[in-house]
Amino acid sequence: MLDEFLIRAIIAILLVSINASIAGSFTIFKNVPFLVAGSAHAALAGAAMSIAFESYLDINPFFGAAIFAVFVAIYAAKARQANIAIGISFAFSMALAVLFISLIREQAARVWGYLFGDLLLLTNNDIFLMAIVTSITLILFILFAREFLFISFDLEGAMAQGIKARQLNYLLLSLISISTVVIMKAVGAILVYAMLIAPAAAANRKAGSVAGVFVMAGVIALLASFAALFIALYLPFSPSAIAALIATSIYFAVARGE
Amino acid sequence: MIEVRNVSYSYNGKVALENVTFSSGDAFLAIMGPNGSGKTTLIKLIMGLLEQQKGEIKVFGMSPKEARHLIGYMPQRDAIAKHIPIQVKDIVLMGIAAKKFYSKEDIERAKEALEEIDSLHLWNEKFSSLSQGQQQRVLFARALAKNPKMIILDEPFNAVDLPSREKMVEVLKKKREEGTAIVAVVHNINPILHEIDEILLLNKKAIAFGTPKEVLNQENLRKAYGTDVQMIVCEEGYCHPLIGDEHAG
Repeated sequence: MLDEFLIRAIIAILLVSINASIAGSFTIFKNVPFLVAGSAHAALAGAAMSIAFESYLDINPFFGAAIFAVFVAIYAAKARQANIAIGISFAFSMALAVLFISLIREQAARVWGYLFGDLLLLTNNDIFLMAIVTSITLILFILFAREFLFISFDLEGAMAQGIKARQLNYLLLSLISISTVVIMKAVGAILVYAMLIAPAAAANRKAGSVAGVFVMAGVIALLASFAALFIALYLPFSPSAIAALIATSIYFAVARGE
Repeated sequence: MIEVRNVSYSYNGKVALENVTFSSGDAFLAIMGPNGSGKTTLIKLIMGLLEQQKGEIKVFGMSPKEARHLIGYMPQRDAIAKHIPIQVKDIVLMGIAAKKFYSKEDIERAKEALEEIDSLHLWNEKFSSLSQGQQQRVLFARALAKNPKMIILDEPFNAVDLPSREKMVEVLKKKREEGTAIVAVVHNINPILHEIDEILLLNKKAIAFGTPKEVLNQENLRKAYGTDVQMIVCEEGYCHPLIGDEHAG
């Protein structure tokens, strides 16, 4: 019989791959990879804040993380220069994270879980939350896929066509940030960048169509994660780190092969 | 079809347009001026992509936002995300609507638009793998796809090969004859000089507005470009300003 930890890790890999496929591809199409790093670190501050104040306000750290990540997305969507806005939010969030962690030294390990993540240490509650949030974001991505593609390809053309491009831009960036938090739960804030960006970036260079990018990004994330899990069963390595190494190596191989 | 009255616009206090007034009928209008003269800002205001700050704009008697559905727009190619492996058919269909599913009629219309510009063979191609001229043709087909009452083009001939340019001018001429209003922002007027009805010479202010023969003279060009512009007069009597570089001024 499969170990419970292993079953949870396999489910988490499937959820990570769905997010890496859809949100990762749109991150590349929209050309906002830095948003993933900014959101992940803001999420860390959100999680730390939830843990620091849980005796006053009982918010699951996952939602605290998601709220902070969405804040970065909205700020970036509003800004004239998105990367600068994300960079400032990144710095602000990290300062907050350090501040909150200093308040809860005895519980700091819970925050480190968000920083490093571990596929094999996920709880049933974690998996449940990841599955619910992935389902909601997936539905929204599917509902607005064409509009998201249009605003990514040609924002002004989309506006001229009467599409509510500004509002959809907020929604798209927010969904990317929420997907970042889902993947972060499994692989941590540091490695989420590798799992969300590298598979989609490799797929974008190789695929012959938009649908091809989604499929290929999902397959790369899936293969990298399963290979990492298999290695981690026999060797004392972090599966998240191995998965991130494989995913980024695939990108390097694809880029070098062109 | 377009009435612009006392329109001014500034970006964070930097003036882009100042008190521009003109009225264009059901015509082929070219908007010409040096780099940074407010040409693109003006067409964005005409399409309601920017909120009006001062003055009034009416398009087909409506506010710009109300008239959007009547306009086919071809943006500058630089504004397009060319790294997405999107197929030509998806781009042309965008010109009709951003729907979940397209009807047979939508697909037929998109194919017709590509056919009009001799590019139907590109239907399944990846946009990013096309030449610059082919990409411009595809964006042009997208603007044609919904049979608009007005076509607005922003620098349509930038980095375009001669055959593509000639084909686009030919289609514009045909559309004009069929009663479609056309507005083209150009830095080099010469490819369309013989086809247009009106020119707006712009440098933040409306320097001159009228027929090509009324507008294109040394005095107006000097006001717009801040320097003398060489011109040659063709057999039909049109003054062709020799602004041959990509962006004069």
